[in-house]
Order: sequence, then C-alpha cells, then structure tokens
Amino acid sequence: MIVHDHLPWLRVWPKVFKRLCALFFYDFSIAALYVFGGMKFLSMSGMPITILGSAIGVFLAFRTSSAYDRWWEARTLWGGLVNYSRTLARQALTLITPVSHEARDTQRLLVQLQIAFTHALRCHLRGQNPYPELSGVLDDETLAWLRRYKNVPAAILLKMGQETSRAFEEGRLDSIRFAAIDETLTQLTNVQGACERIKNTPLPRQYDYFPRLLVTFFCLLLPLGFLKDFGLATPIASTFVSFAFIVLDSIGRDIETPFANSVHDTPMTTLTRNIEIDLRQHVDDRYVPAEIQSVGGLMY
Amino acid sequence: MSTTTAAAGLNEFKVLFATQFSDSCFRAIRGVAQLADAFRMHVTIAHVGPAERSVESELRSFFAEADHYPSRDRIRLEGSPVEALATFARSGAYDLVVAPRTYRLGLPRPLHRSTRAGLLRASHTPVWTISRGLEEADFRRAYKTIAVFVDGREQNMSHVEQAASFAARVGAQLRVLTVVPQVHEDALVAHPLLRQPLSAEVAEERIHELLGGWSRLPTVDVTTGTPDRELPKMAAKCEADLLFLSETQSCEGRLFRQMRRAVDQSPCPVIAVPPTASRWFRERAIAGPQAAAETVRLLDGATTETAGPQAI
Repeated sequence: MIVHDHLPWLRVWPKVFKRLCALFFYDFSIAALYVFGGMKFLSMSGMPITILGSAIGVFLAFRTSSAYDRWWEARTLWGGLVNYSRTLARQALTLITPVSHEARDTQRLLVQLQIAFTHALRCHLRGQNPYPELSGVLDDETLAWLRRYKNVPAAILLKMGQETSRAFEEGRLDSIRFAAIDETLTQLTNVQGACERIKNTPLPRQYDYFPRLLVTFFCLLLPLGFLKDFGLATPIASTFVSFAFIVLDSIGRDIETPFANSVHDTPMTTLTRNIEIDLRQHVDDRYVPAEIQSVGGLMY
Repeated sequence: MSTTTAAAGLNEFKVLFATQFSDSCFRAIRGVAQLADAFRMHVTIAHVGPAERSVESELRSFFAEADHYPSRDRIRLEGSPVEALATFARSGAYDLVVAPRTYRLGLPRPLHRSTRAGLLRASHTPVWTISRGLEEADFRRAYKTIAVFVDGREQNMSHVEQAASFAARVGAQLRVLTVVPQVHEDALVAHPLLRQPLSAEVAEERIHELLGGWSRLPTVDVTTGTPDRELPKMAAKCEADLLFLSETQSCEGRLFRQMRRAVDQSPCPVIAVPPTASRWFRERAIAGPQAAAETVRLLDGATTETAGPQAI
C-alpha cells in the first residue's frame, strides 16, 4: 500500500508511457497530414467525441469504483482479522481456567497458533511458502502435521478447534465459554473464506476488456476532433487528454487485485506483524518483534 | 558497512539477497521463502546505500518475514553496488546471490550495464534471478522439476553439476534442455564453426555422451530454433521450477553486459552459474544421508572441468 503523501511519478509512468508514446506519434502524424499534407477531411466535429468521452468516463468511474470496493473489502477483512485475533487471544487467556501448567500451555499454544494463522493466511493469499516463517512460531511436530494439508491456515484453525475441544472435554472450559471461543474461530474461518473469494474471483473480464478497448478507440479519435482548433499543437492537447483516460483505466486495473503481490496490496505483512506484537505481549513473551516501518513510502 | 543479527552457522546454505527495496525485490521474497523451505539456510539481506537513518530503517523493515527465519542478518554496504555486493559475496563465501530484475522506468536502456551480469562475473557466485515470470511462478510448491540448458559449447559442465546436485538435494526431477539450430544452407556451412549438433537425435546422443558416467541419465528435451526464443517455451512446457544456465548462456555483450532475453523471458527463476562456482552444492552436503549419497553418485561420473581457485 502506498503511504507516501504524494504518488511518485515513477509509479505511473511505466504503466502508461508505451501507450502515450504511440499515441503521440499517431497524433503527430495526423496533425502533419492535416497541416502539411492538405488532408482537411481528417478533421471531424468534436460533438461525437465529447459524447463518447462522457460515456467512457462513466464506464471508467464505475469500473474504478468496483475495483475500489474489492480493495476496500480486503482491507476491511484484514482489519477484522486484527480484531478477531486480539479477541481470540483474550478469550484464550481469560476463559480457559489456568488451574495447571497444562492449562497455561493450552492458552499459550492457542495464542501461538493464532499468530501462525495470520502468517499462514498472508502466505496463502500471496502464493508464498509459509513454513520458513512458521518455524519461528510453531514447534517441529506441529509443522510436520501442517505439511499434510494444502490449505495451511484452514489446518491451523482445525488445530485450534481441536485444542479448544480438548480443554472443554478436560473440564477447563464450560460450554458457554467453549461456544464463545468457537464463535471467534468461525469468524476467522469467514475472514479466510472472504479473502479467498476476492483472490479467486477476478473482476468480470468485460470490465477489463471493454474500458481498455474503448479508451484506445477514444484516444485514436481524439486528435481528429482537435485538428481544426489546435492545428500542429494537436499532439500535445490530445496526448494530455489521453493521459487522463489511460491513467483512470490503469487505476482500476491496479487496485482490483488486493492480494497480488503488488504495491497496491493490502499491507498484510505490516498487519500480521502488528497482530504478532500485540499477542506476544499478551502472553508476556520475551521476544517481541519490532514494528515495521514503510519502505520507500510503501507498506507491504 | 553496518550489520545486524549475524547468526550464520556451519554447513548452512548461504544466500545473499541484494535489494534496493524495489517492487521486484518484494515479489522475490516468495522465491527466497521457497529456497528457505528446501534448505537449512542463512539469508543476508543486503542493501547498498548511504549511512542514513531512513535507509537503516527501511533495511530493517524490508522482508520482515525473515525475522522468523532461524538464521538471517541484514547489512548495509557502501560504494558501487556491483563492487560492494560482489566483494561481500566473495568474502562471505555465499552460495547464491538473489537479484531479481528491476524495472523502474520501463524505458529502453541500450547503454545500461546490468547489475546482475556484473555480480555474476565479479562475485563468482551463482545468481538467482527472474523477470517476467515473477508474478506467475508458483513459489508455494516444493521444487519438482529442475531444468538445465546444454548447448554443446560448454567450456565446463559446472551449471549441469549444480543443477544435478540441486535436484538431488530437493528430490526433484532433472530435465536437460537443448536447442538445435534450424537446418538451412547457412547453418550447414556454419556447422563446423558452431560445433553444434544439427538434429535432435544427434543432440540427445551428444548430451548422453557428456553425461555418460552418470548413474541415472536425466530426460533430455530437444527442440529446433534459437535458444533465446525456445528456452522459455521449453521451461514452461516441462513445468520447470528452476532453470540453470551457465554464465555464457545467461549474459551477452562485452562492454555493456546484459542478461540474455531467455533469462528475462523465463517463466521460472533462473540460476546463472559462473564457471568458477563448480563445487557449490557438492561441498555443502547438508541434505539427508540418502540425498547426499545420490548427489555424490550423480556427480562423480559427470564429465567436468575442474573448478577455478575462487570456487567455494
């Protein structure tokens, strides 16, 4: 996620320069043919272009809005994950009766598993191998057990459910407290499912294909409407207007995939670190990692 | 030079992750995680930059995931990036330098000198790199297929050795890829100079000759065309997780050295191996006893030239 107070030009330029350069040369050729080649028929009325531009503007606004909805939903889900993680840690530490060392182990294990769950979910969404990281949180036996599963975060939730259930069967949790913890685990499952839905369901391809096609078509028509008024300055005016439409098109494309390992991602690494810091402090862990700062104006 | 959290141990696979905090470096974290799962690894995250507070802070925050790795450190170096990183890689006896391609401006840079090519030459260390496939490659799964390119003009078989030992270490299948030129009149004239086989059968035979002493011969894939064009397609077709190339196969140009098109078009990460790194995995037999034994068996029979003095 970009946290700079301004958008660096270098972030925009690589995405648009090829199209802009091609359009500038096209516009320049049209203007030269009109001014020097005497091809006056190239000029056309600005009215149809204006109407087309307005229609494309609405289409692009709708598409950008849909993409932003996905991006914001992803951020909201991860905000929810932060809350549920703290809730689960609190429940584990306050609802499971610590009458023995074993009960304390269960409390601590649940908190560790919750930290591991957030790391595993991030890796799951980013297509990353989670085990090197999990080795710093879980023991070898649990890691070996997790390797049997393809969906690692779901397996961690299962393990948490099993641990909670064991505490219930051993009488360290009553049924009401057990139900409360189980409800939090269900919420975590829902968060994971919703993230997977966003990850696995792209924006309808029509939303991707037609804006690009229409913007290109519009940019090709644009200089024809400017010729009469701008003459040889047409390429400058036309390229400038084209830039606005191309950038609008690329914004939607950038933010529609919030779990795509790009700078527009939900800052999952930072959020998981924040969760880990909180949870480790809850259990008075000796090791508490440092907060993550932005890198080059970006939070990952 | 500043450093934090040094914890390298003996017999660890030592990886130097060179970063300038670009998007590509962020994406390459997944590749490093995949390596870290396959090896007992020490990773050093290195950045070349001035001694400023903001740079130190960025270095500490980049690749925060590595804080959970059993063995890692972060280091800031000063000076020219290639020189500083190469010197550090040599002096630290690193096994691999991770350096994904960076594309910040997207403009053609005909006079640009590739940092990766410079590192490959100056550090005498294999370089892990990737460009186009960085977004699509599946870094979640374990290594299943390791590909290596043999063009018949190898000065030594260092990269084939590395590929074989890597494949044995991670329990993956080894595929040898080769490309024979299109046969036309010019090619027939050029044949004695090229010293390349001109048919698939001859190429396969030649490769089996080269690997004659191996206990288990790998699958050989042969196609016709030019390596720059065909190699990425072959790597995609055989679903390679990693492609090994020699230094000469991965770089071109004398004055302005660049990575070849095949490297940047590869769908999977590429490890470019300099000829001087020929004892790479062999010396670091950190695998389980069975895998290590298999590594030695595979390598003992291979037709190779000996390593240079800089070999690890």
